[in-house]
Amino acid sequence: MGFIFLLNGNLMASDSTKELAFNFETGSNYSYSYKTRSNSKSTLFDITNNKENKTKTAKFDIKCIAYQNDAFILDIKKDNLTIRRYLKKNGELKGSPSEVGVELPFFITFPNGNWKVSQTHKTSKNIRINNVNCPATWLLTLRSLDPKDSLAIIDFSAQVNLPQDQTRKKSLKLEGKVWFDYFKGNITKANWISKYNLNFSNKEIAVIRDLWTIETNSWHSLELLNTEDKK
Amino acid sequence: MKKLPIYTFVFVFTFLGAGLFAQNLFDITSPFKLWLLNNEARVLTSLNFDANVIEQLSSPFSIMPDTKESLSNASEDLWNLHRKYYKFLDNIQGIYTKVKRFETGKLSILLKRARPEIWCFSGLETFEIILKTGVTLNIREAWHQTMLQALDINPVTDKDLNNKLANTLSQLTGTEKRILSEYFATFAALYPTNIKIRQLDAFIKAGSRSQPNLGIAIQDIIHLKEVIRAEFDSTDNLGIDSLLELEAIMSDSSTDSKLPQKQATDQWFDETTTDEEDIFNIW
Repeated sequence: MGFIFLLNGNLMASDSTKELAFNFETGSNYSYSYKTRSNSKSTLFDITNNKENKTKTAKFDIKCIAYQNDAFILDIKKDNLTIRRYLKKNGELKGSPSEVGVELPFFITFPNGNWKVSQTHKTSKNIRINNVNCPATWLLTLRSLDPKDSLAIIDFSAQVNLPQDQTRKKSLKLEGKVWFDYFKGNITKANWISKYNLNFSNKEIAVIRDLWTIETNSWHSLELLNTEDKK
Repeated sequence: MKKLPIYTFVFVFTFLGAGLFAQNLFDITSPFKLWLLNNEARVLTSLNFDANVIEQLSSPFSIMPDTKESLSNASEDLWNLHRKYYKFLDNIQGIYTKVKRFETGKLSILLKRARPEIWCFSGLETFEIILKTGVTLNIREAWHQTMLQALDINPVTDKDLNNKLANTLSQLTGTEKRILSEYFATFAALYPTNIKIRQLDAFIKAGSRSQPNLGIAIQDIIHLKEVIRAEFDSTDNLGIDSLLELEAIMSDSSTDSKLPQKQATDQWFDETTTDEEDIFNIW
């Protein structure tokens, strides 16, 4: 009975906690497709202007060169341009020799060690634009673990404090979902959306007049197309 | 002789400054334009900063290369509309300034009575051979043309200011005019003591409604060229004596011009002063 209990206990633990880590096979090639589209709206008094960009698709390949010093050495190739990045298992960027001097995006990283379902992991950074700091935080919540497909579903969202004042009211909502194959150690699919709104008004003493409202929405999706093993 | 350069310096800059002074005196569009430009600058600064932040967050996975794509930008429609407004307001300002500068008609009367283009050539009459070659007409016409250039009057485009104003107003559609009016109302609400916006709004609305005569005095000034030519063609072109000519002009009752009739132009200019109580002034 104790043995059965212990066995069941272990199974229960693997369903509720898991260490999520990238695990690229040296020599393998991973092909991804990235799609994006956006629309925007501007409002002036009772006049509204809408604009929409068509869906754009880009493809890129990741080739794992080696694993050294606790980092995967990856060649990421897009449109005949290759960049090299050194990636830790949790997704943290250790180095990028081909992007020296380039302001890289704020990347999501997984927590080290076991991650419990419904547990939220935070990473924060000061995004620096034109000598102005803008604090930003990624919030990642492990929603579920599917042992059948070895898929972990993670919800992620960004918290950003955009600078604003009495005349410029802003909101930015960025959230998405990623499906991570924890057995193979790679992202199979991810979708995310960002919604931005700026409301601009004028204020003189006791008089406030709304002038313009500008909204921008964008949708993104990332999908693993295929994997070519070194064999 | 020593003071000649100083006098020349003062004369030139006074002459040049007169145009600028007139432009500033009758300026009714700058407050609104500066207000709109300032607001645009603030929004553009915000949009640029925020776009950079969004860009930093839009590629959240470190396995992704640079995938920056230009987002759709509906705010461009706002800036395009404002650019139309700036061009429109510049044209309106030009017409308004011309009308205000010459509306009294005093300059056209002075030119018709004093005939400075005759005076300036009277000293050369001793050279009879020059008179016979027809230089007199050329000099008088050249003087008139130079005067128009100095006054910034284009004899082609400024001849009919009504038409010019109608063409300017037609640059905007009905919706764009309505939005511009709402902009004016917003500006007036924020800055109730600013009278220039009321003058501007009144001028545009009057131009949209009626077709009164604008710029009659300018037409008189431009028409002087035909008068010069007609007078010259009516003489024998021989033995012209400027003094006799001027005496004839002075005694001629038809040149005793009245002030150009200000036909219903009062409605164009909202000359209200700041006598209204500013209810938003709490100081």
